[in-house]
Amino acid sequence: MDTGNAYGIKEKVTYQIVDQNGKAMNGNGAKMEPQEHVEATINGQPVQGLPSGYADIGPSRVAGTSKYANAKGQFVDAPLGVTYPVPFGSVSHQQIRIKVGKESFAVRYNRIVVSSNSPGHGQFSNQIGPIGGDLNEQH
Amino acid sequence: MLVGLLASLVLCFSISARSQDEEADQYSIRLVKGLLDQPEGASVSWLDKARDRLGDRAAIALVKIFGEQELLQPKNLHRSLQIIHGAFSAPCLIEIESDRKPSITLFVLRDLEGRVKDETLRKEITSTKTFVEQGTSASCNGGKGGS
Repeated sequence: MDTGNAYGIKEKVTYQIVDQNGKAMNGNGAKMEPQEHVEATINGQPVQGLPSGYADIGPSRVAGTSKYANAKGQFVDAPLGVTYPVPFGSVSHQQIRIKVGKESFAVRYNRIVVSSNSPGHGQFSNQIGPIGGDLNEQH
Repeated sequence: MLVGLLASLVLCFSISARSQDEEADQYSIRLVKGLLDQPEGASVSWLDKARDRLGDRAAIALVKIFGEQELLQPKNLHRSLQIIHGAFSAPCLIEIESDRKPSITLFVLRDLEGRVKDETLRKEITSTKTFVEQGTSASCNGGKGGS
């Protein structure tokens, strides 16, 4: 995603919800609500004010995001990342769960590292995750 | 004066039995403090998403965080206006339907507008007020934005 001349990078990630056999899930008519719990640090300092519990991943200002996964069991997480006015390094721990009715299912844990040493550029890397592929991108 | 009165009124409405933490969550004070804690120009996606869902609660939190005089300090006022701008930049994303109506926000902005002496800051307040008024005049049809 375009971040102008700020330091850093933001991504748009599309997830596919799958069952234990790796088969795409559509929720069988039930609404699947992706939620996240995030803890983050920037330059070693904890980011204050992040929701203390789980919050909806969508919708956001980014087109394609929504409160619920679509009929194919896909959802979009965007924007995802950090931009900063000065060079920085950040580490974020993102736990994702899918809420279906009153039940919730933990589906993924992301350790996201974002850093930048020059304006208009950033590195984004992600480790760990049972759903989809990992991200490793530079721009 | 009005901001001080408003802060008192908001406090009066607080339910005393609630714990400090629950009360803080109710007005999203933790989140707004976190936004203020970031340097100007920083954008942390998870904080931004939460801010975009605040609407009128942002102004309530700001009034509760800053004292009357503190809010009038140029740096605090400038950052507060930025947060209010963000909190109303996508009105259909605002989580609580009643917070889509900017009644407290406009009340605070009008009061500040009448008291700030610096012309640049006053213009910034007026511009934020116009932005909030125009942005919230459209209907969301019960939707929550995104797609």
